[in-house]
Amino acid sequence: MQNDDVIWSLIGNKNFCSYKAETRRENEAFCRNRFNVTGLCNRQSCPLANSRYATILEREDGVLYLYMKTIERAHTPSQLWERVRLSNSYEQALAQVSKRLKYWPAFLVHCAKQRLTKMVEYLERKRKLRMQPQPELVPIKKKTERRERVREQRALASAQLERSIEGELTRRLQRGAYGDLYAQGQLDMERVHEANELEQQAEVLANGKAQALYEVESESEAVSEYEMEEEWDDELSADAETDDIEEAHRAHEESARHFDFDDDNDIEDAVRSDADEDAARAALQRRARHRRADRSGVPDGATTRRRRGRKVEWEVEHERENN
Amino acid sequence: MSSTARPLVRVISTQTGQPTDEQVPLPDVFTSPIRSDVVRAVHDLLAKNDRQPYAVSDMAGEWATAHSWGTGRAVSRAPRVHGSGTHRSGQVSGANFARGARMSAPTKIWRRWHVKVSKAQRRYAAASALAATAVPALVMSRGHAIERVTEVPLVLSADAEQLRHTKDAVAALRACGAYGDVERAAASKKLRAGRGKMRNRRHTMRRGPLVIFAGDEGQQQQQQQPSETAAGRRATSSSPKPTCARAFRNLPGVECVHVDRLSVLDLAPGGHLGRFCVFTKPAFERLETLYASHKGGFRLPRAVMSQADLTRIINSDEVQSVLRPAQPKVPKPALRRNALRNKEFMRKLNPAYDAIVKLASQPVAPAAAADKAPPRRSRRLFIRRLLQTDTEGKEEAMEEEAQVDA
Repeated sequence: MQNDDVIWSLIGNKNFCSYKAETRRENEAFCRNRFNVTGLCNRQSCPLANSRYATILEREDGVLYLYMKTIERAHTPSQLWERVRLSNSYEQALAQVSKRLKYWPAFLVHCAKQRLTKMVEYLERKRKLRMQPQPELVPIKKKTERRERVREQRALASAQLERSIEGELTRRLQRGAYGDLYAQGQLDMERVHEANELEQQAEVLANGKAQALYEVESESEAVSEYEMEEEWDDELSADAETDDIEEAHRAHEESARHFDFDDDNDIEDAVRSDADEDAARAALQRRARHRRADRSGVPDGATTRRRRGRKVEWEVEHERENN
Repeated sequence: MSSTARPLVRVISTQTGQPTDEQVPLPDVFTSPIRSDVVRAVHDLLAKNDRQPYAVSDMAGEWATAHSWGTGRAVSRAPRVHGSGTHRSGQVSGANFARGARMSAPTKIWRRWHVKVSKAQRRYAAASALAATAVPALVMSRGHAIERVTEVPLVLSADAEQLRHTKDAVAALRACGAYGDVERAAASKKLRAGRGKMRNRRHTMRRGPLVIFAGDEGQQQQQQQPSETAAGRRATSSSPKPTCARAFRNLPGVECVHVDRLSVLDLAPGGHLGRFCVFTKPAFERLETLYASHKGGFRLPRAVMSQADLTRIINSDEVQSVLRPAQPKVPKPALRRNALRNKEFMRKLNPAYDAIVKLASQPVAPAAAADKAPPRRSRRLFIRRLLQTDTEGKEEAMEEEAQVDA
């Protein structure tokens, strides 16, 4: 009834078996039966066509079991496979296999041990890999990246870092953290000075001069690209010789764009209309007010200014105080 | 296969899924030879009996009375549609390669759709297929999920025939580990690829267990009162008695069949042996009488050889005891090889060959000092002598040589 040769003649070679996975080119087929000890479909390895069979399986995570079946249990599929838990130690597991499969066909013993070796090795590798930090691959989403980049720039612009730093420092000064290092009124004076200058600019505009008078104000040593974007202030040029340069500068700037972050001025405008001039003047006056005001208590995000985080690439020659 | 020792099959309880105390001897039919060739052939023939004819319309493509224009008109000689006034006129028709014409060998309804298969063949195939259902390896290789089944062949206790509700059927199948195959079938339901979708064959799915019942409900107890009205009498006589098929038939993949009507198409679907069968005890017992040898000329299939394992036959005591003792093997003379060319053969003939070769290759012992005549000198003299043509010169040279040698 249950005859191994008959079974093999029905399912082996070119016949049908649901576990068979044939390759196109070679004569060899693979066996998808999970109990197969070699993974190949051939007479000796077939778990269906061999009443006496043994294999090694990983039953739980990292725990190896020796599975055996004998012909006595062939008619009871639920109790077919006898399980023996193998030791965690490789040498001891090998000894267990040898002991359990004593007097079994040499092929099965050999294949079982080979399989045990392979599994022990890959389990070890698995454990090692888990200990090491595994790089997590995360896809780069173009849209998200693009959006976030722009938002970052805008956020940085609206963060007004210098302003908040200034405020914080001033607050600290007022609280007395710096002791006698700085005079209280010194900063205020500077602020007033700046405010006056800005008002002058406003007047200049009011006088109907077509060109904008840019005054460079170096707020920091390094000019980062964000700063360029954020505030386009020129350096204070008190020197006479720099005035000539400034003339040339002005002439150069005649056709340049006016880049005003404030208000709703359209950045694309190359020519400044009267409306633009008025708006620019108003902006400058506002800035003067802001400068004069004690901004130390004001939270950073409270400005009425609106910054546009668009970056325009162009070359400008700056006269810098430090040079 | 020897029929003396017949294994006992345990009957499984529908409640617990564990073997009860009952046991049924395995019917003889399960020891039939498993002939995949017969089963496949009979299956292919029987499968044709369920066909409906198909054909193209008999006048399709032949409506136009088309005739060839013959030669000389700069067109092919194919038949062309008569007339004018429309695009169709002059178009090729009446040939298989023409657009809108009839196909070659149009299908006809008088094709032989159904095939008679002899009873003996059908029974042989059924017996063979039944035998295959008792081999767990074959059932698994066919694809059924029987890893949790208690026993194969699976025989449920007689109360399985009493089941009427599907949920009870599910419980019974779960208990004996057979429900996994039902789940496998249910999970495999997919839309059919192709036009069959719109031809009432929308879904495909795997075949699950085949429930084989005998319809033996203990009908003695269920004898109904004979009805008084004619309608009532008609109802009771003609309506089929409910069987456990009602409980099982709605489960996905499950098919139910009466044991009297077992067919190769159910036992080996697709011509592949090893359908997972769930028997009820009455049905299982009935197999013994159904597939009995002397019934109406039917002989239970038997293998031509009862023991087909040649190796075992040869090594058996019965054969070995009557064989004469093995004769001593006379070694065939080895193929002669030329020892002078073939070193291996030389070594075989002369074991000292290697030693001789080694000796010969050693440098010769240096000659005595006196024998060491300056070789160059004599060589020169020799050559000179060789080249000299006049006798006098030769004599002189010879004298010189004699002096040198001395």
